[in-house]
Amino acid sequence: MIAELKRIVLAEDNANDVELTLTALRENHVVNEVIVVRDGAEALDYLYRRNGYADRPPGNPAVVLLDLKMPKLDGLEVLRRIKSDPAMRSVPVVVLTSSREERDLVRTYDLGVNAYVVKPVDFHEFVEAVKLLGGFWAVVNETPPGVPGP
Amino acid sequence: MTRIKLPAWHSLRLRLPLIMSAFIAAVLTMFLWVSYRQVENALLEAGGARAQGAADQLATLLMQSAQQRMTDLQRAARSSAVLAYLQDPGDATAADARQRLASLTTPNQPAVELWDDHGTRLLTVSGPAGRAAPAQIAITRPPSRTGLSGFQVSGDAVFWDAVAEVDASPATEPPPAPAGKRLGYVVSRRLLSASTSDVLGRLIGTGVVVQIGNRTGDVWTDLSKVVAAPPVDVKQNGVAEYRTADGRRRLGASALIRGTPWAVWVEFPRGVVVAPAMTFLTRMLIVGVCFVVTAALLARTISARITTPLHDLTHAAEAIAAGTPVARVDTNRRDEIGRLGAAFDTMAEQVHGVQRELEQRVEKRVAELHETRQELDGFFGLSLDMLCIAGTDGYFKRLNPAWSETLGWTDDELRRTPYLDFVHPDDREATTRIAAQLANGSTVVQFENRWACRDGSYRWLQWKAAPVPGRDFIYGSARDITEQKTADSRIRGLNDQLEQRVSELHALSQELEAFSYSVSHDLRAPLRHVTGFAAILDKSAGPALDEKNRRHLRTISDAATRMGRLIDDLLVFSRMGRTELMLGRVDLAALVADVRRELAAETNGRPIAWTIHPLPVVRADVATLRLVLVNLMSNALKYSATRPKAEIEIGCNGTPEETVVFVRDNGVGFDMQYAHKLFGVFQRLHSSDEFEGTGIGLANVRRIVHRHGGRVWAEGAVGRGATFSFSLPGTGETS
Repeated sequence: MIAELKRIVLAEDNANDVELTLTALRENHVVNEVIVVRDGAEALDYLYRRNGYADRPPGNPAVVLLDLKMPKLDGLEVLRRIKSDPAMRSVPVVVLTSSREERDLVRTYDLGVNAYVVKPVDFHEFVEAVKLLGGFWAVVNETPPGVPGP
Repeated sequence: MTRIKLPAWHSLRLRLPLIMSAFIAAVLTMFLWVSYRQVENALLEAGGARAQGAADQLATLLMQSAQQRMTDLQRAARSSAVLAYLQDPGDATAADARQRLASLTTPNQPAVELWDDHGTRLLTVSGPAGRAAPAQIAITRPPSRTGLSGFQVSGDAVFWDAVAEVDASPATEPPPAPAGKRLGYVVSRRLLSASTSDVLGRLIGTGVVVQIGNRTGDVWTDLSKVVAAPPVDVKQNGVAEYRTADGRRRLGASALIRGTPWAVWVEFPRGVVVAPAMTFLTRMLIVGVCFVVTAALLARTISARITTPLHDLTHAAEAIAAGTPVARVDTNRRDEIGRLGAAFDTMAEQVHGVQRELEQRVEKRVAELHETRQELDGFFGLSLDMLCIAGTDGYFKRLNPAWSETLGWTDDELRRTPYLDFVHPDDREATTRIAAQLANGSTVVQFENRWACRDGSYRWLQWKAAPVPGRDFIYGSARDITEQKTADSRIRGLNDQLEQRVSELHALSQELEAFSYSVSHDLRAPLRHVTGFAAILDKSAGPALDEKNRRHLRTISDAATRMGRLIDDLLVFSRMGRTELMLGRVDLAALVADVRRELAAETNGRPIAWTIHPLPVVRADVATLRLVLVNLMSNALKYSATRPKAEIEIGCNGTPEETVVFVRDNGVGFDMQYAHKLFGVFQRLHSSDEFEGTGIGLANVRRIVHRHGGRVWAEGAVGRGATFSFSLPGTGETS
């Protein structure tokens, strides 16, 4: 059963945030394999099995956790590409961001994001948020899921 | 009005008689000429007939005379004595024959001769006593034929021959037997004598010319001398007229003399014949002249009668034209002229009336004009604007004092110099072009140019000018707009600066936005890491740490959390200055009630006395106004928390200009000398140990209220509560 768990893609350039996120997932007992990519371009490479990810096992991830501010392609652009490709559209995308900027929220929802999570400064809150997310998508081995509130 | 001088020959008084006389004279002349011609023709006809009669008579007389002679000769030729002599010439028979022939002789005429058939003259018997016939007319040749010969001429003498044949047949008297044996001829030569002419003259009348001659025209005589044949046809009877070499016209008639080769011509001078016609003409002329003179006199009288009133009318009309008050024409006549005069008098009176009225109106108008002109002159002089009348010749004609006052030149200087000389050299071309436009009749033109002042400076003048229709003038009105120009350029400079500032500000605002965006992402991330790793550390190493170190770890986490909140507040404050306000109707009472419900959770059931006065509906952005109320009301709650019973009062004071809302509490209050610090960012009057908070709330309140166009202020005293008020422009409606 566990072996069949799908992967989680975490697109995040900041190593500290990666570690915190992975810690939070672990604390919540999310055992899916987490693929960490460091920028938007790498995220797309993984999703489309290109370049360094050309020989990864097939299949779409359970969820993509996407930071907005990344080098090369930013999160919004990655989101736009995923949601404009019929083959990728069903992959759930959760935006994890430091930003409370309203315009970011509006733009991501316009592009069809499945959830939007503001990373709280308080780590415990963050753990709670990740717990919700992980529990919803990663553990459930079925796609597409519904869109939960953050 | 000029008086028309009529030339004498144009006057009806002279022309009418002249025309009538000329007409009558012409008719009379024509009539006289026709009559004269008729009389003359009649007289000529009568004269011709008379001449023809005379010619015929004369011809008959001559014929009888000639035939008588021929008969006598033939008798003698047939007589026995002559015959005997020729058959038996001898002395005895000769005597008898001579005696017989002697009976044929006439005094003053040539001899009668007897010739034999062989052309030998046998006997010559002279006439009785008298002059002998001239020698040159003696018969020299034997006769060749019998009968009467044509006239012959020798010198002055004109003569003719009569020849009778003697034949052998027995004498039987008369008639002679035809063609017996011819023995000889009896020959008689006759002279035409002058006496014949006298006889004829007495017979026909004086002035008459009678000519006799051969029909062949070779020999003609007037019985006194040989003449040329008449220049008419004399081979037949008839009347003819001809013109002599010296131009005199003569009338005559010819007649043939039967039994002879002769003709007669009788002629008169034509003048004699037509003399009565001339007499007739003369008399008729006298009558005609009398008639014409009479008619002329009559016509003159009539024309005078007609034209005199006309003259009077003319004089009267001229008098009216010259302005003489009333000129009357009393013709005292009942005909058309009388009516004309009467009509003229009526007209003259009306004209006079109209003239008087016109004069009065003109006087009134002149007075009005004078007044208007004085008014205009007054305005002209008073005007602050520079008014002028300029000629198209390039000079000013008239200027008002504003010119001298503005430019410093005297009126004289301005008018004596071509105005273009005062215009700034850079503006002259444009000004010349506009002046040309105006001269070509363009309507109103507006333009600006610079004018030289006496002190060497230039003033900007704004012009409005128009040509004066039909005259070589331009009306111009100018205004000194130098100040305005300067101000304009200053304003333009300021505007440019302002625009630059705005764009700078815009760039700054964009930078700020990028900055705050960056802050919200990048500044928060390290804090998150601090708290995150502190939490992990606490979890993993917490049980091993002593109380003091655990407290340090907690302080790290708390400080980071607090900094995160500060950043969030700062971002909200920054956003508050940029987000767009959506103004609409906001029911303050409902909003206050809503906020009160929201805050109730934080009061933890402590006793609070709310006093909410009636509140109006205001025009505001509901989201930000809500933030204002949340801040003020939560502050009131916060600073009255130390009181046994919190008292919070919310109300409204309206003025026509603004709506003032206040929130009053009975809390700790504040020292008024620090009141100005209340609304600053991160400015606090209490330590965060006493009352928690970041110090951004009131700064947000002030920013929101200012953006609504209102004010915000606070009153209070330490320990005696505080009252925070804000105003919104416009009168609110009571809900």
